[in-house]
Amino acid sequence: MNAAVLWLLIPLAMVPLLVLFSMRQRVITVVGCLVTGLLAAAAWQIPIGEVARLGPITLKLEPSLLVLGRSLSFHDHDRPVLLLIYLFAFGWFAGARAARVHPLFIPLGLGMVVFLVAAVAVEPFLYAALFIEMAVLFSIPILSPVGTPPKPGILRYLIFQTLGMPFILFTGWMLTGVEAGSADLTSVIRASVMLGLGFAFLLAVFPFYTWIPLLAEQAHPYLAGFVLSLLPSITLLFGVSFLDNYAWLRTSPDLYVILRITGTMMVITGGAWTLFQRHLGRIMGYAVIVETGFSLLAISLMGVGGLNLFAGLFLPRLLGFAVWSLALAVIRDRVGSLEFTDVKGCTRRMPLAVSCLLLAHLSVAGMPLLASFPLKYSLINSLGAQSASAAFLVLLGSLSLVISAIQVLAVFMENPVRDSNPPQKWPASFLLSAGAAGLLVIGAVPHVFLPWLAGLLKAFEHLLT
Amino acid sequence: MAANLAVGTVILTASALLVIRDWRWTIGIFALQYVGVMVLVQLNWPLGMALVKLVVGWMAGAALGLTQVGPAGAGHEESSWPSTRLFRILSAGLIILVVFFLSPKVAFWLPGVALSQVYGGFGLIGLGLLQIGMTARPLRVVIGLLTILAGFEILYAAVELSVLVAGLLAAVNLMLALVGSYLLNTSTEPAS
Repeated sequence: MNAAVLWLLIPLAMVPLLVLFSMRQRVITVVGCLVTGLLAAAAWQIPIGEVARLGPITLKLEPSLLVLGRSLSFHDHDRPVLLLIYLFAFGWFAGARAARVHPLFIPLGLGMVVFLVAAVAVEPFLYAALFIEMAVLFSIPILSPVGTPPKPGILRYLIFQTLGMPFILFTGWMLTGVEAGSADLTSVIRASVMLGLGFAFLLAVFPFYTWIPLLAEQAHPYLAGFVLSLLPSITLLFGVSFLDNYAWLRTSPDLYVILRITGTMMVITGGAWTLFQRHLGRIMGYAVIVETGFSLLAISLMGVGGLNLFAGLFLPRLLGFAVWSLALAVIRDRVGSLEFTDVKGCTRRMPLAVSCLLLAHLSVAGMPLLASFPLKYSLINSLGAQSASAAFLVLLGSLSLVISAIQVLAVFMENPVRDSNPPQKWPASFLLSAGAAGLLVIGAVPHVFLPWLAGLLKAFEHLLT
Repeated sequence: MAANLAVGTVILTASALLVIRDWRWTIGIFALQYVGVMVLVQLNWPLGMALVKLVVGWMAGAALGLTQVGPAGAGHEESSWPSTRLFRILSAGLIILVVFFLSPKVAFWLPGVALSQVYGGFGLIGLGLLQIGMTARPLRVVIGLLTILAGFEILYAAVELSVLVAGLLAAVNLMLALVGSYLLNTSTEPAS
């Protein structure tokens, strides 16, 4: 069997089937979870390119599938990435019913995941930009369900992501000359600017991030959380592939300075803007910007162990936003809106959802004892050794997120009112509790998870040497 | 000669897309634009592969047009003041001037790309950017994005001959058009 068939074609074939049964939400939730769960288990257990025994079955996964002269290749070192992506999808699909999202979420979400996995597998890796764009196009019906007029945030998201793709593809061609050593300094600068613009659009880097808070405000919070967690994570891995593949890029000291400045700007501006928001979804949107900023800072610290921090940040981020989004979905479902004026007094009505929301908020902010803390503490320490002013600004950005969490708590505690609605259903309560427990466990014993997360870096052999 | 005609076609059609508000004319002009794109791509690609661009463009236009057919589309005629049209024409003129002024310099950076392709490619990219910058309507936004992609594909055709990339770009174009149709459908009240 071919690895591309297992992790790409089989789930892709499931997409139209799930669409056909989309009216039976219980069925598609079970099938969606089963497919992604099995694919995650396969990524965990089955080596690629070697003979594996699964009980009575002997199996060998061929690493490459040739398509029109190019290949879709999975190597053994890609398994941690596959495991993370499919595990993420499994968790998100499991919460779909509790979040009460529209029935097409699971089929289209699976399609989006498949295209992002294809982005990891395609060789030459530059073509990943095309698969990321396809994933973005798949995500539009997720974010803008049938019967809802398209909001400006959705259109802006579509525009910015689509503009990123041509820059990346064209840069790929320009970089070929640079890598061959035939290019002059002007060509190098030109290619770098193009590459920077491409990733600025794709990652919503400062100042191109205006669509994120808009999207987080206008789309269903659970669906916005899914897209805003998954897409930047894969794009960041794609960005690190560039560093791995082009020696001139990873040896350029200017790149790390630019990444440091950009990351700092994103953390401080994203954090500061949370203080002026009056919508819980928008606050989460700005937190996404802060997280991307932290990842850029981690890459900028590559020479001092930043890559391990970069990989380590994946799990706290994905889990943090999963809990945050689900809590927002539960609150919105009950209250009807996420405006501050409407969520006053929610502490008494939905204590578990409110507690989990605040826990996730504080975890993303990097509060001690929570999942992000050990990594962000190390990151700010290492950053301080290189630039004290950058470390101070990043600390200020994180502090702003903490203050915004206190603001949100104050709003939740205002005007407690009686609520005649029935209490939360158990699936949502169970998932929120499990997610919150996960944030605490990762924060308490990070050393258990970090070696596994460091496995995400095995694909970047040049960066590790 | 054919290449110069194609440059004229793509620049004029992209400018017309900025000004014309009737969806029927918009789709017709959009389809014509892809004839020019095909001719410019054909300078580097075999005719068979270049025809893919034309077919994809027409299919994208058809997908967008079909969404507008019927009573639902009739309610979506866009009106604009004469001053708005004049502003759009002047903005398009400005973009065309900039493109024609800068293209010879840019062509120097892009070995293998003919000057006519640079004019056509950057013309479409510039006018497409102007289109998405001036509207928040899904039809206009998607047409703007497809115009930008068409401009990019003219330039990229000169440097990338891979069949897989051609196929993936065609898929992206079609998916974008389908997303556009979907957004247009969701923004329209169902006809009773």
